[in-house]
Amino acid sequence: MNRKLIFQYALRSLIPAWRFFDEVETHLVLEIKPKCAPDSEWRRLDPSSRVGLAQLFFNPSGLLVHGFQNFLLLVQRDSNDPRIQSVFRSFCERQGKMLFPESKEFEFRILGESK
Amino acid sequence: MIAPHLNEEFLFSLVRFFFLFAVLLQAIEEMFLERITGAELLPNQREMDSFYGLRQPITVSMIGVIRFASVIWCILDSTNLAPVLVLLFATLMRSLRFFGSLNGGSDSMTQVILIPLVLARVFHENMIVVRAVLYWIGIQAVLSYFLSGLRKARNHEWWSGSALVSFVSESRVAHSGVRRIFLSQMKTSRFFAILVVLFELGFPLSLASREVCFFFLSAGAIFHLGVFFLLGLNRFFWIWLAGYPAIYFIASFGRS
Repeated sequence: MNRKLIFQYALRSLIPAWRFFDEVETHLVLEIKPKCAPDSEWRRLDPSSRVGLAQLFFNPSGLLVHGFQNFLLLVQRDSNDPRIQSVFRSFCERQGKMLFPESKEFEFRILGESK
Repeated sequence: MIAPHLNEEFLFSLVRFFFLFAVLLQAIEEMFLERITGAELLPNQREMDSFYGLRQPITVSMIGVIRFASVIWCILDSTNLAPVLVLLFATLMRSLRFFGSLNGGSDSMTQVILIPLVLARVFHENMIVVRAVLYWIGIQAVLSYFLSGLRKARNHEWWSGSALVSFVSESRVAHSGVRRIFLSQMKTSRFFAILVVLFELGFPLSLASREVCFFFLSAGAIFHLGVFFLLGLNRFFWIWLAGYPAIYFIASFGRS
């Protein structure tokens, strides 16, 4: 286990305000399809949320939306990090099996770019 | 405009109160995160274990429960160092769990405020330390707006309004009527986009006087409410509110 790498991720969240918003996020979308299936089979994974005044106090769906975006952003940003890519592949395979139970291998892509 | 005169002890108590309230709401959301529809859209325990190379003994719900309990403990025992250390530990555990951030800037702001509050308690809330803490939090909060504004100002899409259109069109929560207005009336989008850039760039002016500060903080609260209704960022509203008394402190006492 690479402890230095793990703590690097924790320390990222301790970076104070002079680094705030140095990345402007755009909306990223994850799509999955069975391997070798036609392009028409791409299926989008995209959590949804709704907002009313109550959600100002309690909004786990919103947290999920932004947690998912953060995860995709991290995968995109650290595309050379084999550990992140390993988590991402495992995650995509789990999603693929849910969406296409009859398939065993999947392709996935992230659409959109973070600026 | 009447801007009340508030002493520094009271402002520090306000920071602590709003902070604990914000973290309490965050913790409740985290406690229920794994139980809501769509929760499978985050890496699960097995996937995280593969990253750490060992079995991580703590889940998101458990982190939420620990954070919730430590906030309650902080409220019940306002002089004990232990609960704030537990809160810091659980917050760092959450950062480890999500590779740094679960909810972006609001997580960063939570830690920007939490760490100096821990320091204040280490030094038994000595007034010199309390002042330093208020300065630190206030300056960080002002910088968070200013640097965000600077970044936007360098991007021509904010001056044309197209950046705001893009955010609203991609939003999963924006009301359909509001979305239609922003997408169909470019002048409206441009007006609000420029207003946001100018507001954020001008935020350091809030330190000029109590009256100006009062104006900027009121505008900031409205801004965060707008962001909540357009983008669903409820956590930003509460945690930035916790930094506001510190900004007010600098505007009131900091320059004297």
